[in-house]
Amino acid sequence: MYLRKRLRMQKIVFFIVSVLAIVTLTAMMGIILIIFVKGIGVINWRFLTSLTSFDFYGVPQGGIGPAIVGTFLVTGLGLLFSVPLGILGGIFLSEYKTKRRLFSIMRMSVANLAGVPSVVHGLFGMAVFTVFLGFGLSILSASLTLSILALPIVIMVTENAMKNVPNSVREAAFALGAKRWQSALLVVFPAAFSKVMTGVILASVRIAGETAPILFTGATLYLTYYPHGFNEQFMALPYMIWGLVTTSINISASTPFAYGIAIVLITLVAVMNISVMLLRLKMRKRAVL
Amino acid sequence: MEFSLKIENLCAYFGEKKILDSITFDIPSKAVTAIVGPSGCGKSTFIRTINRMNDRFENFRASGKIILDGENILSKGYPLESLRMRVGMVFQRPNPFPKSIYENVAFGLKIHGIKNKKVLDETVYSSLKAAAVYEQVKDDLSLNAYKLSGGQQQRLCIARALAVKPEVILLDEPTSAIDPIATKQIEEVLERLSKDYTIVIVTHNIQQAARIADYIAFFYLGKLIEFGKAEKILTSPKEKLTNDYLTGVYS
Repeated sequence: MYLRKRLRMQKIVFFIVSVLAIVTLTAMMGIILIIFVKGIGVINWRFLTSLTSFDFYGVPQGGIGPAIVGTFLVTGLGLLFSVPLGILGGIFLSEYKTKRRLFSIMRMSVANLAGVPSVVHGLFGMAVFTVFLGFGLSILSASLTLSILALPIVIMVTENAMKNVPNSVREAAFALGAKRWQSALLVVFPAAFSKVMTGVILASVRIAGETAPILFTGATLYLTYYPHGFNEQFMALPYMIWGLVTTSINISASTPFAYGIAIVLITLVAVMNISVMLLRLKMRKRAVL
Repeated sequence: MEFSLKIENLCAYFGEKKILDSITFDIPSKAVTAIVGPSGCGKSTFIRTINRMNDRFENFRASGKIILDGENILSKGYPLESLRMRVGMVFQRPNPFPKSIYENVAFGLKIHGIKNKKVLDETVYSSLKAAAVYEQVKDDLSLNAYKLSGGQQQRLCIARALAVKPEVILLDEPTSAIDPIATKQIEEVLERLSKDYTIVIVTHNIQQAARIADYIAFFYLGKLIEFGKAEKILTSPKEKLTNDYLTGVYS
């Protein structure tokens, strides 16, 4: 009797869970499908590689080359600033809890920083990097702003990855006479490395898609050339989408272009996520973690 | 008889709770000393105090003296790194690093600045041999230590502890997570090692103590009840508590 009841319960729960899973999956597939249907027409080699231009009627011509380059540049540079700092911060939070005062200050800052809306990061970046430090509207200002956005993500991911490494491993290191930094950097961090990398890639996906932080710090809607240095303005994929569907002279002609950019962004994200998976697989297979 | 560690009036606390109460005895050099007693009697706390592993816990506090080579290792300025090189430890559950077999054993040397490949190689081989795990792993020292069986992992942990050439090896119930055959192998290793090292092993298994111990210290509720030669403690204990424990009145 009792068993049958439990079996029925099991079936009901499984049914509910499956329905929810299907709903989620359908919604996601739906979004991707719509974007692909509306945008696939404009995708070709020229679209990906050539400069942007508009004809007399405001119909976009050419491609999104500068926006792709710009997004890669600010994302890469943003990671370059945030990843080393964020990893060190995460290691500190996970391994140096005994430094009470610094620990709680940092913990609080990270939590607050993570909750700040991205447009506020943009304003901050404008005030500090663009104006105060005089970097102007530039790739440098925008990357620094994005790096501040990525910083709490990298810190939190690193902290969690490090915390997941069992304490017994730390004790083993200490029992051999390791100092705390040796245990942290030589044992715990390597063990947490693949998880940290996952977090880094997730952070890069996040900042690659951000618009607000680069809005006031260096992104521009239209550039007829590729930037020559980090002190110049740049085009970026997410900002370009916004520009094409809101400020273009000929919105109906620009919209497919915007969908095309969305496809590029989604593909970028997918590629990055797949690389995370491959990385993990490789880490698991390799003899040495 | 020579003594490796002299313990004088050792008390230990976690917060307000007194875990060890005035422990005084000397641990004989180059012999196996087993610490036995029922769960919660302070056995683990005791050996983790000897290499100051409990310093990790903020609410831990110890008073009294543990003398190693004429110096009190509990004194404030005593360098932990060199203490832990002289006093190695093997834990209850095998805890190899998620690294290769080679790196596991070489780690202790590397963190103390030894980089000479020849020295490292020789130490890794001799340590693995001394821990009787060399034969099983020699074909591929680059294998991740996690791929080894529990018993092999524990012997690898012994090899790792041996690599830094300690004088004392502390073992905290090293076979409690391991099957009987692997346990036997580890006991054989320990017996062999006791010719050159001072071994302190915590065990809740009287049979194990009987098999390998030269000396037995019986702990009960944080107190040292009785210490002496193993056969003496096992056959004719002086204290009633020891006798009760050995005959299984409580465990």
